[in-house]
Amino acid sequence: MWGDGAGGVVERVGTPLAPTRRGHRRNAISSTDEYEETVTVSTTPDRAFFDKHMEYLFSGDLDGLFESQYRDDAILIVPAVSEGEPPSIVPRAQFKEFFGAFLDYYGELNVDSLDHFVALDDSIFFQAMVSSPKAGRWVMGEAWHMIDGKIDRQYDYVHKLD
Amino acid sequence: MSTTFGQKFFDVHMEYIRNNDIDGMIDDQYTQDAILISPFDILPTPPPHVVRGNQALKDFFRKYIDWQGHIDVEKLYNFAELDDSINFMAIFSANTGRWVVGDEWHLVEGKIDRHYSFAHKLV
Repeated sequence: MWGDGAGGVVERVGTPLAPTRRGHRRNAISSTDEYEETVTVSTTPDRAFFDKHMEYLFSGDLDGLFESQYRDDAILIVPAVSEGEPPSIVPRAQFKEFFGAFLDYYGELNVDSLDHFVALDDSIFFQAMVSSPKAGRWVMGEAWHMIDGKIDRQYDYVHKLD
Repeated sequence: MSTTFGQKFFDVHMEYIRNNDIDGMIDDQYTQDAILISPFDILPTPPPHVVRGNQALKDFFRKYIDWQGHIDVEKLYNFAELDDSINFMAIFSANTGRWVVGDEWHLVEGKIDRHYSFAHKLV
């Protein structure tokens, strides 16, 4: 039913554990006859792209992050974290201000788990459980749509848990 | 009343789901080679699932709708759109529990070519 027939295929993707802020990870692999397997390991370019992203973010090197991983016409779509506020559509020119506000809002941010990591040729997707003394516990997700190895659209998902 | 392309597209999407017209939804709103990334644990192997192509999307969505059963949307929020993107979040209750979800659609020529689906079970 889900095999590689004329209409398409469903893949099972190995789920790496990510990183704490120090960038540790693991990888899980399984196989069945029915699913085309894709193994995502920490040494793949896409996983390296993710790891580098986190390294830039947590070291505060925002200029490096923007220069190396985002296109000049990149746009972020970010849900509001406060009830009743509209989502933000953030063009590249406003990234520095936005990311600065993000880091200020959460303060010391711990990635408690990384879930559902997927890397495609043109996309990176993940969810994470995060916590900080300042902002509490959150479930977050990001999807990066990429062109020529750089992010052109970033879609965020956030929900406060307590 | 729908006023933008994104709102109309979203409304049509929901109408397809209400009518359980999964084939119509996939044929009309997804490219033939569209890819869905889903965190929902509805297949024999654990998520995330990468669902590729027209027929696999139809099969997956039918299974998903059956798995959720009746869906009561409590809140629809954070709707945003660009020329090539539609995003929203929702909180709903279903047979499987209460969920906060986010759907991010990347579009090419007015059809979804990448569907990123986020989900967290609240209860």
